[in-house]
Amino acid sequence: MRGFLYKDLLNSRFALGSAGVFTLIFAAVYMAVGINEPDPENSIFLMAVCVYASFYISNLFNSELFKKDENRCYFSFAVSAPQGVRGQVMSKYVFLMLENLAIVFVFLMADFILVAIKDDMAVSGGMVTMIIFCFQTLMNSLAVPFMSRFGSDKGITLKGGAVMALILAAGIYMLYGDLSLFGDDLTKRVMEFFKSPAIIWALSLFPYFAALCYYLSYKISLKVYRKGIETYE
Amino acid sequence: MNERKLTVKRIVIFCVLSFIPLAAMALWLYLRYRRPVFADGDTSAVAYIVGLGMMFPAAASLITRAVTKEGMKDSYLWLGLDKSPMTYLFSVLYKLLEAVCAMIVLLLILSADIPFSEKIDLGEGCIGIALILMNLAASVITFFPAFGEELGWRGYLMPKLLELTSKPKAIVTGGVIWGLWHAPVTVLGHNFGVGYWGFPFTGMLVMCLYCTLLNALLTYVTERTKSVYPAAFLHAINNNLSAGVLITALSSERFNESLSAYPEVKLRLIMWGTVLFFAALSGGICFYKFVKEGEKS
Repeated sequence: MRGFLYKDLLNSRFALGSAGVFTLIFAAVYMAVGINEPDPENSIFLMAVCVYASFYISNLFNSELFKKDENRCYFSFAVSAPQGVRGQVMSKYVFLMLENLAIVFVFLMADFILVAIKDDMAVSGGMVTMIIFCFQTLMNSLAVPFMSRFGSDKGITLKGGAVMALILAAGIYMLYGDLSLFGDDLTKRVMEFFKSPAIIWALSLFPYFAALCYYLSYKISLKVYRKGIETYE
Repeated sequence: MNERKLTVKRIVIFCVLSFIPLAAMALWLYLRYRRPVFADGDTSAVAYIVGLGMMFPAAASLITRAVTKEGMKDSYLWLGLDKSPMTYLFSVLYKLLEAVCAMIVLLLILSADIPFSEKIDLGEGCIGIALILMNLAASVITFFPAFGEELGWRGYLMPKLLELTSKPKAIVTGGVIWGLWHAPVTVLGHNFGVGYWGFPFTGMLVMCLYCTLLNALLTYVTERTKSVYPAAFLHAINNNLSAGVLITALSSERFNESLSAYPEVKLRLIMWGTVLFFAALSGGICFYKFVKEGEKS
């Protein structure tokens, strides 16, 4: 698998470089928001947006990771390698996980600096970063089997569609839904909502659910990869 | 320069590069707060910042490799799943089990007048367990500082010490070096506070003992997989889900109030006594295995 990972790293070096630049910019914004906003409960939303934007943009570049492998010539080589299809598919999952962990690392560093400057643990966005990391892991576990079976273009369209549908649903609810549930002070009510026992249980189980999905996704990709590659010209 | 001298030189460079930044960080914290910051008050922010210091050994190992032109040979950075995949599971489960056992022992020892069933309160909707699960998942975050230490101590220092001496001797030497590395934060009251007999030297001594015991277990899992990740997971859970954290999440208000009646030094003594007992159990078994291994070879 080392060889596959090394190949993926070389193939994606420009994408990784670009994603790295975006992540650093968002990490700087994350720190700026944390430093300048006096109420940590208000800043946490903007910080979460910065973290999610980094994950989202980095994962946009990932089509390159799959695209370069989408030809019969490469497939013949991959299956003849000692670890075959298994190594090829596993390397994608390991690569994506390492990429996401690198983003978590950058935001952890930003968080260290932020907490050191403010001298207050309340400004830390560590938990938010973890939850978004798990969400991104879940999104990747949805997207990769599609990419393996139908190719990177269709896979990314499906993943993008799912995210857009979520945003659209949230937007429609904000426009026409019953907002009285949240009361006048939206931020405070949302924070209270996240402190309710049911939500704490859901949030604590979510990382394990995401990890399980990632593993199952790997197993599914392993099954559909060979079928998918047969459709390439 | 012969191999042995080169190894010693590498160890010295690595230790200097690991010790100096943490000492500088501790000095900065002292100058900022003008007191041992861990002695009282809310120390969560400072403890979080010290997490950055845990990454210094990793940086030191990388710099030492670059300076001595060693390259990334035997870096222990590969997963090692092919060698012993179960070690990963063991690393996570063992530390959790140890923390639960230590918690039960502490609940039995402390405030003996309160019935055991009344000492535990899972909270509304068993929220205490949910918080523990969340804390365990937060190991994704605490993994990085733990990995920072493991890459340095188990991934660099221990293999170098093993080149120079036998495993049991290397475990003790490595553990003492690792324990002494914590000295600057021990002076700030980390782990033991400040009001105990022989401050801060007794604390340093206990830290050296604890690090030696933990070093045996961590070296064992690292050697089995030839990878630092299981040790990093184990270390992250050790820091993130200690018996103290479990007690905070699961104990009743009545039990917590009863703890305030204990003198701080006595409470810490009981806590550390229990932690050391369990560390001695696992460390002792690993140490025994290393000794037997040495006798065979």
